[in-house]
Amino acid sequence: MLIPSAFRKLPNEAGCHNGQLVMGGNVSQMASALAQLSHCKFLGEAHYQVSHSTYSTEWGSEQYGARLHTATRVLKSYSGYDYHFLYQSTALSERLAIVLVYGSDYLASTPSIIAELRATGSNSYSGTVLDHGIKWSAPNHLESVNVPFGDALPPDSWAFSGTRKISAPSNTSPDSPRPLYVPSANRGDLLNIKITISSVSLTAVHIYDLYELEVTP
Amino acid sequence: MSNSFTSDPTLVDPGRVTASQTIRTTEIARLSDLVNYCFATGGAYNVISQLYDDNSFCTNSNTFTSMAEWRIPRISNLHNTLVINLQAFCPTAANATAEIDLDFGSVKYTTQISLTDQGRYNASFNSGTITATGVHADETAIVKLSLKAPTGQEVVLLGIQANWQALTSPLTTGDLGQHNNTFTPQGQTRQSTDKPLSSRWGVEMLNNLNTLRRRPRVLFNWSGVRNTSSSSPISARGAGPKAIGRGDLSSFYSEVALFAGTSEDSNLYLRVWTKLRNYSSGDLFLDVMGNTLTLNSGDWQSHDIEFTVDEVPRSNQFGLSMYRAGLDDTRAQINTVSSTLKPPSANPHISGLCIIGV
Repeated sequence: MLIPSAFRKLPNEAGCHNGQLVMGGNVSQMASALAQLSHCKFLGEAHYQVSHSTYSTEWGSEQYGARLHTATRVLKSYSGYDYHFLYQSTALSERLAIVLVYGSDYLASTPSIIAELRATGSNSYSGTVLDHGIKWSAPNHLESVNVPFGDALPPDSWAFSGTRKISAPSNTSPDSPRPLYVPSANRGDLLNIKITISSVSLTAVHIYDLYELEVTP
Repeated sequence: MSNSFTSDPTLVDPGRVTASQTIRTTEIARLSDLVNYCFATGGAYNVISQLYDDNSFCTNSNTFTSMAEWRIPRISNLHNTLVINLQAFCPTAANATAEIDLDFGSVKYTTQISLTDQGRYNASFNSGTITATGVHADETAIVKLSLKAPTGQEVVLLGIQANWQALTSPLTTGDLGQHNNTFTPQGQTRQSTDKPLSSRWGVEMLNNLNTLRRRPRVLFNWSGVRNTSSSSPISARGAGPKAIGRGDLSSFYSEVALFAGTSEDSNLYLRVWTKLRNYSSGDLFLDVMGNTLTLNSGDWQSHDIEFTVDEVPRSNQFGLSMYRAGLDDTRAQINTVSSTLKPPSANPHISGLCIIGV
């Protein structure tokens, strides 16, 4: 069945009143509008902003800016450094696209980001690995910049998993960027997207269920 | 006559709902099942998603200290349970507690969550629920987070995630509310073989579709952090952002799908909620998605905005019309967001931002 992405006009209610001949077209429009809701509008998404310390020797403790105090700084500790993003999936969460907003620093080491999908049994951060995941690295997938002191700082960079339609992966080490795959048994669960960074600082992570244009009933 | 539904949801065979085909029981039953599923589960994913790094969200207060506040949409009047997951730690693990308030106007529900980890992502996150027991038709609610550390210790929050708990099958009988709209669940027995296809089914289905189209979605949600405290200097701990700052503007947004047809129905909207602190008087002007909002209240304030921005290039990959939902990176914003010239300690500042679409 084709899944529309727009709120198309619904049939006139009077067409369903007593004494009217109900046409197949009416039911078709209702089916289409309902599929738009279940398989498009109500697909899951999560939009994480990642805040860091705002402290600066220049303006001390004023605490503003959800980004870093000198634009996107990369700390020494950001090497093999983990974050856990919780995502309440839906029954239709088969593939998850990831959009990352980040800054990087090539002087520290080669910037990289690994995303892995885990279950959250017992609320554990080390739950069962559902997808060994994907890796973005510089220079292929990530920007890698170093700004001399005094130069204008660049805006944050964006990285993307893409939306390719994939089958259940069998990798045991991270693949090149692709959507993460949610096994059918875990769709609708609270999921943990573990992200490991090196020479990168994250400022936002966006997670999306993926829309499919055509679904077999 | 159970208002049941299945999950995964079932679609109809499109070949059976066209002109010249008879209207089969199967299709009507599946449509009824699917509309019940949409009411029960639609929008029951993250309404709050935020992480705080670098020990930036911490307190050493041994009484509950209010530290963050979000505005969230209510997905229906029946979705009464909010699930909250907190990622936090305290070196001693004893008595570190979070208190969450869920406010509908003046009615407040509270829960406390014990925080058990003793190190950053040490073992497990902690969960809690708040259930509203009264009847509320509010379109949004406010979530407030307070933390309390054991005496002489500090508690650090790493992240928060919250979602409304989806309803289970079958749905309650009778008309159900979604703000001031009505949803009529569909009983499966009535759709079975040899039952008449009533006019009522069609009218109710159209009304239900309109109600569900109006169900809000979170496009962007952010809270600043306040009242941080630490025995360490602020250069080391407790310097989380209170306010949106000038450096945020280039990427303080989500890329989200907005659906064609939204602007053709006056019941479908894009709404921006902002929270100003340290406000006394005057107007501040904030640019959001091509609209200039006038902020002039020290409380939460909402603005409906027009749909004026262009699609982002990633639309093509998602197969949907995607837009930038967040602050615009315009020069005029410098007069509103915090900066060295407008530090939050001495100026009104934006400490909360929520963008809701349909």
